[in-house]
Amino acid sequence: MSQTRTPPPDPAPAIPRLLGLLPGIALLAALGFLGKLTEQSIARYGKAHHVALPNIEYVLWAIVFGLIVSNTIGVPAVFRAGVATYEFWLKTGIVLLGVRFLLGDILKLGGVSLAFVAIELGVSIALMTALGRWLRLSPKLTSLLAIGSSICGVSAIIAAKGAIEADDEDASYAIAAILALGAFSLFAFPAIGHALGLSDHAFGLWAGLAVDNTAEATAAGALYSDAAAKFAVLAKTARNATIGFVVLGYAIYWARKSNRQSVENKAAFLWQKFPKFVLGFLLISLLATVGAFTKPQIADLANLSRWAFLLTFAGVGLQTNIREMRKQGLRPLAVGAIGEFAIAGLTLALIFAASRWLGRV
Amino acid sequence: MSIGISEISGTPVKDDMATQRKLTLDWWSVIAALGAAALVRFNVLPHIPW
Repeated sequence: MSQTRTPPPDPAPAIPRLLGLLPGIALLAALGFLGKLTEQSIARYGKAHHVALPNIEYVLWAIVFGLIVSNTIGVPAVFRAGVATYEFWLKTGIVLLGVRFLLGDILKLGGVSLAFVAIELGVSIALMTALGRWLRLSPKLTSLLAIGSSICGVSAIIAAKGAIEADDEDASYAIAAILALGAFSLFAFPAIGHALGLSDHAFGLWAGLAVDNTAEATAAGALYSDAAAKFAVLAKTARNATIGFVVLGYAIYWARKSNRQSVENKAAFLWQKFPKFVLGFLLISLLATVGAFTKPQIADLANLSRWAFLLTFAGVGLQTNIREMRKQGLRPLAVGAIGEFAIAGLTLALIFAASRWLGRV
Repeated sequence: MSIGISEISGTPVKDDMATQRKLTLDWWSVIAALGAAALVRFNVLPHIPW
C-alpha cells in the first residue's frame, strides 16, 4: 500500500505549538477542579449543617462551568488550541480505564455490547435514512447523520465526511445536531435512569449504546455513578470499534452511486479508520490481567484516568456553544432528535430484554 | 476532490486532515497512557490521589 500523507497544515515548530496549548489546558484544569471543589464544598456544607443536599457530581459542575464560560464571555482565542485537547484527555482517560477491567470481562461484556451494537447499527441507519428522506435533507447529510447516530458521533462524521465526499456545510449540520443531542442526553439519560431504577451496569450499557459522542457517553455514565461510567466506556468503545466497517460501507455505496473509483484496499481502509485508542485500552487491560500492576497501582491509574476525564468534561462544556447550534437550523436537529429518541428507546428495550445475562436491571 | 478513499490508492489528499489529526491523537493518547502506566508501575510517580 502506498500512502501519501498531506503535510501538516501548521508548520510551526513543536515547542511553541505545545506552549500554545498550555493556557487552554490550564483553563480545562481550573474549571474541572472548580467542579470537584464545588461538589466537595456542597457535601461538606450539608454535613456540617445537617442538611440533606443532593449530591451533584463534579462531572456536571465541570460541564456547567464550561457551558457558562463558552456561552457568556466565550472562549478567548488564546485558550482555544488547549481547550481542543479535551479529546486527547478523553482518549488517554479511556486507555487508562482499561486497568479496571480484566481482559476476560472485556471479551464477555464487549461481546454482549457488540451484539447490541449490531442491532443498534442496523436500526439507526435504517431509521435515520428514512427520516432524512421524509424531511428532505440532502442524501449526504442524511448519510452523515445516520453514521453519527449509529456509531460514535463527531469522530465518525469526520471520518465519513472524507470517505463520501460530503460538503463542509453538511458535516457542520450533522456535527451540530449530534452535539446538541449529546448535550441534552447528558441531563436526560441520568434522570431517566434514576426514574427507572436502572443498575449501574444497565445504565452504563445504555449510555454507551445510545449516547453518540464518546465524551458525552462517558460523562452521562459518570453522572450516574463511577461504575456506570466504566460500563458506558466499555459499550461505547465496542461501538467505536465498528467505525471502519460502517464508513467503508458508505464509501463503497457513494463511490458506486457517483461512478467513482471504489475503495481498492479494504483492509487498509479498515485499519486506517480504526480508533487506535481501543488497542491501548485492550493492552492496559491485558497488563492488568497478567498482574503487571499491584492493587494500589491499579487504584493510582484509575485515579489518573479520573483526572483525565475531569479535563474532558470541562472541555465538553467549553466546546458547546448553544448560539452556534441554533444557527444550524432545525431540520437536521429534528431528524437527529426523532432518531435518537427511537434509538434510546430501542437500546433500553434491548437491555431490559437481556436482563437475564446482565443480572438485575 | 478526492478524499479518504484516494488516500488508500496513493493520491495526495486535501480534506482528510481532520481524520488524520484524530488518528494521530489516538496514538498520542495511547503513548501518554502507557507512559503514565510505566511511571506508576516502576514507582516513578508517587501515589495519585483523587
